[in-house]
Amino acid sequence: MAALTPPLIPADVRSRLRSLRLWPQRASGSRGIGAHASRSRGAGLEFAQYRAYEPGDELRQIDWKLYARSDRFFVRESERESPITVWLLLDASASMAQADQARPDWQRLDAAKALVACLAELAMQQGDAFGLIALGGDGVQLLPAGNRLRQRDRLHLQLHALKAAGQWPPQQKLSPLWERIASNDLVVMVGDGFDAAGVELAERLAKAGRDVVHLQLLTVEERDFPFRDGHRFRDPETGDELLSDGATVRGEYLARFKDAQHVLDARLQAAGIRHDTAYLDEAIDAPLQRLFGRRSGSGA
Amino acid sequence: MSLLWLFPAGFLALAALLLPLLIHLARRSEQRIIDFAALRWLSAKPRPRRRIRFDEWPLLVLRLLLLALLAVLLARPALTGVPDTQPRVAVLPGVDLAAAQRAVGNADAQWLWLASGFPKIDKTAAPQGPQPVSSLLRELDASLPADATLTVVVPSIVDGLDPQLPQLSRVVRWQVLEQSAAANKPAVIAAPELQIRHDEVGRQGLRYLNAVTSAWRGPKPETADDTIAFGNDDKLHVWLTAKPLPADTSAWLQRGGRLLVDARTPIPADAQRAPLWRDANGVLVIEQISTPQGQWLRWAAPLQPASLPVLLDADFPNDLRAVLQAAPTPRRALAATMQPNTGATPYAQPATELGNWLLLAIALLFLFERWWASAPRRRGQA
Repeated sequence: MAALTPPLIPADVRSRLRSLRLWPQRASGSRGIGAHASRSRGAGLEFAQYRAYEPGDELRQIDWKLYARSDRFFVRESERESPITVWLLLDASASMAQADQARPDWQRLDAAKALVACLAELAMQQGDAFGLIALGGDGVQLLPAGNRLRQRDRLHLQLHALKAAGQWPPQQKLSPLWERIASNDLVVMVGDGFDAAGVELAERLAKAGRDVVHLQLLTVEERDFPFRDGHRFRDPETGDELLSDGATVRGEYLARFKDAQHVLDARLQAAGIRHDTAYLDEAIDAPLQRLFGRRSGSGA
Repeated sequence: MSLLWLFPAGFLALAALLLPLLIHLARRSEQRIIDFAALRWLSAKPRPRRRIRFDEWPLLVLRLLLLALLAVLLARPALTGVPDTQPRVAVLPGVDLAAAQRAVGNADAQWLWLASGFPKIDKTAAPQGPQPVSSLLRELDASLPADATLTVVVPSIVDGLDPQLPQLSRVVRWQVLEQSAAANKPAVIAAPELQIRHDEVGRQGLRYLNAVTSAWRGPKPETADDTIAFGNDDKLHVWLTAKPLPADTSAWLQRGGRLLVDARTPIPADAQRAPLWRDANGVLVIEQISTPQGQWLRWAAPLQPASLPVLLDADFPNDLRAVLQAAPTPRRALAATMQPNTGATPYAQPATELGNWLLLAIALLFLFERWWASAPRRRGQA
């Protein structure tokens, strides 16, 4: 069955990801961001494994006691300590199940999953730990932070099983977030940005010193409102229904929606949250290119 | 040129235009529920009007056009007075084609065989057998448009003419080609053959009939006793007995058989009798019997010189043959003397039906409609 599941990241997107890096917004002196390169050598406190000596390894890394016992050179490797942890906050409420009429099999959640997988790929490329927190009707689904390939596989497994349902979880259920997400961690929120509680959470996380990135995913219909006839519209989360004629309310809707987007942008900007809005007819990595691409010059 | 409808009732099929209109009538799409998370920015305004609307109007127009064309096809449009001035050259089969083309030398003309159906010369071989030339000329003249000139190529001696000059509606260029005499042998009409059934008394008449066939230079009659049935052929059956006619005679007469019976043979009660041949003295020799079962000839008296003195007459074989076998009307003539006359009223030409072109247009339109309807770019309208 796993073979039949389409890959989360299309091949062309995967090739474009190589040029991206997840930059933290602020350099963090205490965790030694500048030491990124030296740490990736594999020297650290937590022992991970022995491996055979290869020419080029530093002599001081050889375990001489083991050499005395076995007459072979072994190098001690330790778990690389990641300087930052990337937390992927995925909105899995019912509104994420919305899809365009023109492309009914491409839900907003599918795009969000692909985006999350891309972010995890980036984090893995640069050796950072990453974890997933899905917020939906089932409460908070948490994948503890980790790194390397197995963590990515665990993430993909969890993403495939994820379904959009219910509403944004209430405040008291969000305590695991505060327990897990340490200060200065990078938090990437992926969602539709329609839930006021979600925006509030982003603001509070940013205020509490977390580095928050907010990625908003909108459908083409929300952007263009292509309806011409009368339709019965339904909010998937509240179940409210509304009978409306597409052609007459289009202009008013577009204006109000644009205003709401401006307000949201202003709020996020004020809170110091990097944010971007992506649409379902774009390439998956488009918001990442805008936020983390080299041209944006947002490097530390 | 004017357009006319051969079957105007076909326009009733225009009622079928309602079908695509019904199919394309926009369904009440208010019933379709659309998930829309940004509902809070949407205002409730139900549609104020209930105007009739159609989905995918280009396809609708295409389908309406297709059905309208079908209705027009049913109404059988036709054009009258289509100008056609192409010259025609009709060649009687048997004429040397190369010589005819040299003599006429009209390259852009349409070349036809002067034969039944007027087949085109470049497509079919020359039809065989004698042709009723005068009748064919009249038919060709009647079927050609008035503006088309006609050239007829005939050999020097034409067989198959009527007793009168053909009278046509146009001036015909009458092209006579000299033909070798060997090809112009007159047909010889064979003498009638006899098949005779007789009884004892009838046997006495055989010698006169044998003499008659000798005089005709025909084959000897086939004679037999009346217990032997007639053969099933097209010979003249002669029944020289006092017995009634065989049971299958009626069917044979229906098929066109000819029968000559003796004076002693009983005549059906409902028969009508008409004298056919009287000799110089007014004595009835042969009469015709007409019954619902068929017609046949009957000797008015037994075949004896005592009762039929004409039997001994020198002209008897010729006179009998003239009764049994009508002399053919003269059909051969020198072509040069048979130039057709003009003066006949021109025939009204049948209207040209446009069905084939309509069918082609309909087929193309249908293909286009299928392509349009099944194109992948066809979008479900919101």
